[in-house]
Amino acid sequence: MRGLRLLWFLGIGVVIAIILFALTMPPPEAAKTLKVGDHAPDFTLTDQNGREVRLADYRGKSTVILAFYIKANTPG
Amino acid sequence: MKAYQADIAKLQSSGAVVFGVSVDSRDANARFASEQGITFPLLSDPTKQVTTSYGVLNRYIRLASRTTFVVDKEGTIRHVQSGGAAIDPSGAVSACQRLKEKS
Repeated sequence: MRGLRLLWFLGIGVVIAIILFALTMPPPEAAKTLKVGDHAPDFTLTDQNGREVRLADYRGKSTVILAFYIKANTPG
Repeated sequence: MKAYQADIAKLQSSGAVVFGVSVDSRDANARFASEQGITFPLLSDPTKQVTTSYGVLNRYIRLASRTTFVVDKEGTIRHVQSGGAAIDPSGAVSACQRLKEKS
């Protein structure tokens, strides 16, 4: 019985350690989010009207704002 | 995106082109745009490649994290805002105005 209880406490300890470790880790995307001064990677994507947009087409022409949003039909 | 739509005149008068980007399909973005009256392009990144290359893919939910980048004419990032702060476009507006004054 005693061995079983010890095993139980060990198990709980391991679970708590894993949770604490996960909580103290930075969010996975935080480490590599591009920063001020970084080069903006080029892309070609399609807009809601089917038009293709290439970032490089704005080079030398205008400032571009890229507003990443979580999901369509959500606030913000 | 509603806040960006509300400030679109301010953003455009500062000389900037505005794009929304998400991992949604083109159809979902078309519905979103017509329901919310969004007039600027919403770019669809279903393969998540662009979202990943900018480092804003949330690995847990596999969606973009709310982040705004201001890219200057040379293709260099000049302003980054993320999370709740990125809902309000005023930071991006002032970054664009600063860039306009410089050029």
